[in-house]
This record gives sequence, structure tokens and C-alpha cells, in this order.
Amino acid sequence: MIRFEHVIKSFGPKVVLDDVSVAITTGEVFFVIGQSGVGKSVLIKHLVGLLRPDSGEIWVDDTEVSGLDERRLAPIRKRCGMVFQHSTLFDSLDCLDNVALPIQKHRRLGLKAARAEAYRYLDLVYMREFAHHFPSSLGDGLRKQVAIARTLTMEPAYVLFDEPTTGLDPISARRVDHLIRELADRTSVTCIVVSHDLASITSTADRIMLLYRGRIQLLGTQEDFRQSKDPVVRQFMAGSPVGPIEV
Amino acid sequence: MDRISTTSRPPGWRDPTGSVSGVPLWLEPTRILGAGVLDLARAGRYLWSVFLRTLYYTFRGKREKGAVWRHGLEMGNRSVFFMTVTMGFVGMLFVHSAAYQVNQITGDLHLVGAAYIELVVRDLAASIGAVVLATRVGSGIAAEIGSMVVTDQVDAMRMCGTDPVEYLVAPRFIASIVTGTAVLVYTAAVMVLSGMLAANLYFGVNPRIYLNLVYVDWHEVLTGLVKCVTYCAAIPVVSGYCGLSTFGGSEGVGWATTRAVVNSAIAVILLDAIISTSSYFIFY
Repeated sequence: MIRFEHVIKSFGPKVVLDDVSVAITTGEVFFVIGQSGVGKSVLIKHLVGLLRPDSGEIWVDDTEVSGLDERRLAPIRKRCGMVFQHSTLFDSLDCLDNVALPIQKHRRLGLKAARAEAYRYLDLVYMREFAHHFPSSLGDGLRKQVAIARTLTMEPAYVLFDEPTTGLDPISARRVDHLIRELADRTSVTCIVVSHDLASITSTADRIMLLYRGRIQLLGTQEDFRQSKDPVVRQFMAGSPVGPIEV
Repeated sequence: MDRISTTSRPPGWRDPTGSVSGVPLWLEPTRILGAGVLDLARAGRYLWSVFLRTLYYTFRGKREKGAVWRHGLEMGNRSVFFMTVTMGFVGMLFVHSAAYQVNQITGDLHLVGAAYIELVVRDLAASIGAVVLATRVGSGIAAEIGSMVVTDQVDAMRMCGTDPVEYLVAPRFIASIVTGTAVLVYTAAVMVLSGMLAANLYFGVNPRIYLNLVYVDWHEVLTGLVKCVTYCAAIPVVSGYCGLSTFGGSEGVGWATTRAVVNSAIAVILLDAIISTSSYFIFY
């Protein structure tokens, strides 16, 4: 289980997260949504120690992570994989070696053994045939699939997806959604997805949290969101430029 | 109790007294000064940590195949033309100015070359050359690492259990020490030769009289070499630190690049003061 308790985070005078408290249960696909710059990515980066809160606590299972140093964060980062918005594959390595790198680092395997393992994870995301392609020769969707494979190498209990479908064509986006859903259903991995893609939300989410001005505006199931009378929720779900959310 | 802090106030909140931080207006200068000192201390601690980790990974870390060679080529070979042009003109200007002054005072120019070569070997080639080199090498390092920071590639490395310093700073550190030092030694030759050209063209000084090594002792050469190696070690560490502390988007990368050049130049000047003073006490 993951818990954020009264988390506050500011960048200079700008308050990005203002007293955010939420619990995410094991095995669910949890979506964090909101307009750009509202602090969705900031929130999940706190989970793996890439950012530290100004105050508040963040719990991953029974470990409070906000005060851990880099060395003690390593097991947390093994437990919580992260797929970044820009895929973040290393351009100088082919797909196979990109996936093999964390296997070498975290499991301390040699390159040959790590590559053999990497093929298994490329199979999971249907990317074996692209093993020897370099990231620059792949489209955004395929790069994202390799990034997901790389994250899965650590066999995480939680996978954090930072806007996984942003910038993808609809077919690639739905393929990534399908992978996320499949991951949660087949392996009971908890998926935390930052997104503002309504199609992803409606096809994949178990629970949704809408952030607005650094605070939780609504937390609930898809049904709760559909039935909500909150003007902020209504505007976001309708994708309307008119309403309380300033564009 | 209601939690009241500066961070929980809505964006754009203004204190009725005019302070934006919530601190009384008369204490605002103290707050700004204190925040500045704290920021400086944090930056210093992070820079020190980058330096220590760079040293550690230089001897213990794994490097991407060919990375040192690639960076060495970029920092060394591709800087040669730039360094030749800039330092060549700097050398000519120095000798022209010095000879002009000496000519007005004594009219005897036969030791201009000897004094200038001593200065070049001991200080000018390393210090001025390093500042000029930092504009090219330092900005490149900060821009490359900064771009990786804003596109989350550095965070991805940390998530893979890799220290970004191991992959991004350490190879550049080794490459810079080897090829940067070579470039600065070459720069000394360029400065001496361009100065000889200026002395001959403008003041008719015979090159054989100009190329007088009477003032160049082994400790001048040693001091000059120590400076070259130290500056070439400092530039990638300072620039790497600036790149790694990038924040924001492309604007942040721009700022990181500027900070890399400025901070590298400051580092070179500070190290120059330290090494020059030390060598004075050791050798004289």
C-alpha cells in the first residue's frame, strides 16, 4: 500500500502540492489527473525519492521514504518502477541493452545473463523483434513499450507511469493502455498513472484522483466522476475551455 | 490548529505589508541574505559531493565503451581551431601592449620575449586558456547534461540504480584532464609564437632574441602544468554540477549553460590564486 500524508511541496513561491493525503491500495490501476502543471508528476516523483516534500510523509508499504538517502532509496526504487513521459531510453544503447542495464545494476548479473533476461521482458511487451534497434529508429509508442519492459525488469510491486500516452497516436496510446491493464490484471502490480488522456482514463482506471490547485478535488471511481456535479470535475471530463479551470 | 505557512497560501498571495514571503518588511533584507547564504551552502555541498563522486568513479566506476575517447575528441581535437584563433590573437595583443610600453620607457626590447614566455609558461596559457576553453567545453557539458535532466533521463538513470555522475561526469573528467591539458600546452606554444610574430612585425624584434628561455625554470613549468591539470579537472566537475542542478525546461538549460561558463571561470580564477600563492611559498 502507498500512502501520502499531508504532503506539501513548493517550488519557490509556487505551491504545487498543498496538503495532499491519499492511500493507494495494492493491485489497482490508480489515475492521477489534472491540467498540465498541477503537480501530478511531482506527486509520483516523491514516491521514489526523485523529489522531497517540504512537509508530510510518504509511505511505501511500511517504509517512510521522504527522508531516505540515495543508498536507502535503492530498494524502494526496485519496488516502484517508473515509466517516464519521454521514455528516457539511452540513445547509445540498443533496446536489448537498455532493458539489460537495470538487470545488471539491480541484480548484479553479467552482461550475457542480463541480456538473456532482457529478452524475456521484451517478450512481455511484444518487442523482441526490435531488440537490436536503437531507440532513435523507433516511434514514440514502441519506445514507450521498451521503457515499460525496462521498468518491469526490476519486478516492481508498483509501476508509476508519467503521462504514458502523451504524444502517441491513438493506436499506440490504446496499445499502451492495454499493456497497463494487462499488467495489473495478470501480475497484480499496482499501477499509478499520471494522465490527462480521457480515453485512457475511461478504458483503464480503477480509481481516479483529480488534482486542482495543488489539492485533491475529487477521489473516486469512474462512476463517481461521471456522476459528480463539481464544476471543476465537469469541466475536466467535458474537456471544456469554459469553467473554473483557467486555461 | 489551522496550519498557516507561506507554502499553503494561494499563488499570487501578497502580504498586506507588501512582503511576499510573510516575513515583516523590515526583516526582508535579512531573509533574502539568509536565503542566499543557505542556497550558496547547499550549492557548495552539492558541488563537493559531485567532485568526490567523480573522483570515486574515475577509479572505481564502469564506463560506457568509448565514452572517454568520444568526449576527449570533442573537448580536445574540436577545440584546437577555436583555441588557436583566440589565444593566438591574445598572445599578439599581450606582446604588442608590453613591447609598446617598454619601448616608451627604456627602448630596450631584448628581454620582452624572455619575460613574456615566463609568464605564458607559468600562468597565462593555463589561466586564460582555461577560461576560454570553459566557454566551449563547459557550456557543452552543462547543455548536454541539463537537457538530459529536463527530459527525465537523469532520473531514469537513478531509477536504474546508476549514479548519473558515474556515466555523465566521470568520463568527461578523465577526457578533460588528458585532452584539455594537451590543448592548454599547445595553447602556450601558440601564444609564444603569435607573440613572436607581433614582436617581429611591429617592433622588429629578432625571433632568436625573442625566444629567450632564460627566465623559464623547472618550477615555472611544473606550476604551469599543475594549473593546466587542475583547471581541466575543475571545468567538467563545475559544469557537470551546473547541468545536474538544472531545473525547468529549455529556459533552465539556458541558465545552466550560462552558470557553467561563469562558475567555471570563477573556479579557474580562484584555483589560480591558490596555486600561484602556493607555488610562490614553495619555490621562492
